[in-house]
Amino acid sequence: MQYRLLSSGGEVRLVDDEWVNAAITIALQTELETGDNYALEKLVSSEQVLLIEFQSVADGRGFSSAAELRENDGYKGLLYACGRLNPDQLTLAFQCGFDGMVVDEQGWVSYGEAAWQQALKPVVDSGYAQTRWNAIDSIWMLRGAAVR
Amino acid sequence: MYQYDQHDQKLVDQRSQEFRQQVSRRLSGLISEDEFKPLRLMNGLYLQLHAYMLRVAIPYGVLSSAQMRKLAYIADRYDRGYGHFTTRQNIQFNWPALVDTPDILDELASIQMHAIQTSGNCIRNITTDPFAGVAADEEVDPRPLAELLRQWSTLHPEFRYLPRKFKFAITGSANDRAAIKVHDIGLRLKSGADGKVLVDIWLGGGQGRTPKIAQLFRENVSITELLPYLEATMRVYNRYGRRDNKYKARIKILLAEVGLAELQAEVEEVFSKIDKSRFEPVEAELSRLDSRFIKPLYHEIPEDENPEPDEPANLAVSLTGTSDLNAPVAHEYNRWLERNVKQHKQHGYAIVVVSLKRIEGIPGDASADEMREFASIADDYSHSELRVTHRQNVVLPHVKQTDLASVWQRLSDANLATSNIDLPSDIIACPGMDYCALATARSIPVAQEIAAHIRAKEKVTSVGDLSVNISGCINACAHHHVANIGILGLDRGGVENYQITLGGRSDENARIGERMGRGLLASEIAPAVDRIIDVYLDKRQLTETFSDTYQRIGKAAFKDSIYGDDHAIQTA
Ligand code: SF4
Repeated sequence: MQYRLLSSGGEVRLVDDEWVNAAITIALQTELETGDNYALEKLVSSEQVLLIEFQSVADGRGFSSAAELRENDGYKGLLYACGRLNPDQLTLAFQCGFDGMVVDEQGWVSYGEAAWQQALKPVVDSGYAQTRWNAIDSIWMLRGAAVR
Repeated sequence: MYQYDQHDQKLVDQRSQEFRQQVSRRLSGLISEDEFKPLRLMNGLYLQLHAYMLRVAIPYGVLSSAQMRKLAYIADRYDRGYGHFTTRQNIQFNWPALVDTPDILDELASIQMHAIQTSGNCIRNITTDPFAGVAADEEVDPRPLAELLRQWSTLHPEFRYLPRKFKFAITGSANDRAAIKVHDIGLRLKSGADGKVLVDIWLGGGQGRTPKIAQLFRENVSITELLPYLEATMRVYNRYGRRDNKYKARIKILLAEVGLAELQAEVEEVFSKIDKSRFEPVEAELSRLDSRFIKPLYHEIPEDENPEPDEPANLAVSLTGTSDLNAPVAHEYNRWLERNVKQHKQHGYAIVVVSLKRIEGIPGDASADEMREFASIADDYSHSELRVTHRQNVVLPHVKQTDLASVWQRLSDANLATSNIDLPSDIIACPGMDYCALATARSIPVAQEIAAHIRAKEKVTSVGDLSVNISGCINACAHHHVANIGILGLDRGGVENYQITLGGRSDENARIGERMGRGLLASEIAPAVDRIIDVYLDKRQLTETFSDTYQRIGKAAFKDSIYGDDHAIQTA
């Protein structure tokens, strides 16, 4: 199977099963006690790519998991979202610390290439409280800069 | 009032532009209703029983007269000449055509309003005390923080797909008029010893199927730590809130299942690792906001001068030529002063509450003409500012006491001087079966019948503050659980059936009402409410409120009054 790897630079690259299998997919747990299945000490230093899977368009846990990995755990490696996501969620993924999204053939076809391409150049750019992983400054940062 | 800067404006303009593209994709059939649904919900557009409904946010309930006029224009041009004010300081339009909705959003953007996050599983419109900044009993003005939270939550990338919707309310007064304890998160602002603002965070309140009163989650949080702390809380909720059952998805259920101590510990841990420097711009932003909520230029009235509102007798003279205090006009005015006028922070000023619960009216509805009249009265007498309340009324927040008679006259001419604020006929009712697709029963006609039934009693007795709320289904949009008399409309085999709860309250001593016995038919409700009020009038001591009396004497006497002999037989 082939996948599209959409990255924040606006780039679309084809990857295959082998690439996906080589990455570590984090399974999100639903119980607070169990926590997620990654051993961070290993990941933080690893050269491997991490994937967080979204189980449905409405399931936004992965956005917080990404933010947590980046901010709370200091993960610096490559991090991609995969699974059931729609083009409108691509911007959110970037803002939460993902490097991009892995889109399977079904997702690519059902929303259409045009929608994905458009999502790579979103209409809405700056929000108030965007996280630092977004290349664009947040409105609060812009206001702060204007004062200084 | 807060004025947008170029960034705020750009954000709502872009949002509206984006929605226009989405609507055109839908209209041309490029996307299905299923694909369109999450997109329209992000912009407050619901599909109701008969048509689309657009819910517009009125952030923390504050409106300028220009904004009110625009809402009137939208009601006329795109709806049927009405708007409906909700219990969450929003306004709903019940008849917009899909093709017009992008234009409506453009109209809204032109006056610094929007419909962003008025639906969907995200952080909803932040609500607060309708008397914020003007109440005589206020400790801290909650508006700048409410605006800061509005900005923080607007399009926050991490919290757009939460397990369920999430509601914040804020108060800066010991007398809670914002019902903070029945919100997912309620914030109580206090002024600390050194003059710095401190915040108590109450978490896990809510209504619906499983009503809960919030628990004190963290006390005395400083303003600088507040946003990172809330972000940590939301992050934990987003990760671990239940997604397998939408009725168990609110944070109140997570709190109940995990327990207070464990949830606190988890939030603390996430909070400790959050990079606080990310929130550094927030302090500057808050002081910028503080400076943008400038006090209106009040006419300074010396403290030793006591500008009483115009005497009812004087008004009677000017209107009828008689100085008889018993003249109907003097009597009416007096009642209005008593019920609808509240104490203002500023000497010589008053807060006027305009009731949207008119005889035979629909609770919370205002016509376009009435909205224009509000705007015009606000221009003439209230520094062009208005508020909407969670009890679905409208507030003129800065009226000079010496102008009260003129304001009353204007309202009275427009049939807007109903003097029943906080009385039983000031009923909160949701749209129910008349508009809402989720309804199991009607609520508007039942509210009208109750009001018609009890108005006479309100006039001849001193029943005082007593809340009656009616929801048309278990979702409890009318907050019936926390009403003194709560009514919930259900469907029993195709027949409307109404359950009564008593003793609830939504203030600083919030409680969930207790359920009485079997449900009643629509026609039985108004007489039952009447009898419940009789029990209260009969049993109350001195200045006891309904809740006080209910707590003291318990359920039995009230229950007897509802079911009479029938109940006696069943329980014998
Ligand atoms: S309580 Fe039920 S019927 Fe009433 S507005 Fe809410 S969802 Fe609709």
